[in-house]
Amino acid sequence: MDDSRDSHPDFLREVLTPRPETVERVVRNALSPDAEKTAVELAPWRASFAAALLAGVALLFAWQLERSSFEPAPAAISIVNEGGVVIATSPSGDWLIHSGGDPEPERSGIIILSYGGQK
Amino acid sequence: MDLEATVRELAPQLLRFCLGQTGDAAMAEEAAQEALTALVQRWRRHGPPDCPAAFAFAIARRRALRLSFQRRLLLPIQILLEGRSPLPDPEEQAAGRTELGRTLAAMRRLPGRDREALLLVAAGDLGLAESARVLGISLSALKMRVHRARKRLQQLLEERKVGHGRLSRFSS
Repeated sequence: MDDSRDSHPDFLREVLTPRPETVERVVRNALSPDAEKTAVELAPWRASFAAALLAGVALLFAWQLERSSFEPAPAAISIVNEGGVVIATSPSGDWLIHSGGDPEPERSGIIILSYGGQK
Repeated sequence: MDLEATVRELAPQLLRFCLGQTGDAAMAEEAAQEALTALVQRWRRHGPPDCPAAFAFAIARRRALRLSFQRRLLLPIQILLEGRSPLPDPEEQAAGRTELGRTLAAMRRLPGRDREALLLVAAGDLGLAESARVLGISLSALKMRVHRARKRLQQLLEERKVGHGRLSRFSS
């Protein structure tokens, strides 16, 4: 132990001082071979209990995970284009219709091809 | 080093520290008992640790914290099951008027880190270097915590004295 003790005299030591019989009991219990045996016997019991508890939680978690993975995936929205109108059908059966407005006018053009000609 | 002499020397120190930490004599005894049993077990199997005091105090500290936490956690259930009032009973109130009761009540109002630093040094009678080792902090940090805790505790106890004096005058 180092010598750098708390230099101030403290009333805490006096106030918190235990009864001599309590000190004696604690010392006797600590030094008795039974206490050590009890501690040794208790340690594996506690460890196995904790392991069983952890295994239970892990099993529950795995079961929940498995259950959630079997649930059917929600159907995708189908989108169909019918004559310039886009029809979207949601999984619940609602239809969302979007009109694209006036169809783009068809383009037409005249291509003139000339052969030869004046130079 | 002698095992029995070490245990005899450490027992009152651990009991004081644990009582200050938990505020309950039964819990303090349980925590100190477990720390000493662990020390004896370690000593008999693998020889004495480098610093038996630091070894025992580190275990007592953890155990005392765990017991206090368990008590706080189970208190509402106990109140429900036993139909006990959450207010202290007359016996507890009487104990609160003793010097020990007042000190423990003031200790409870200190920040946890400062309280355990003060208790290790002042009540546990542990050296400064050993206390710093148990708490895993530097020596200067420990000194600061002890100083702060001591100052605050003094303030709290004086406030309580003043309050108690006023109450006595009022009731007489």
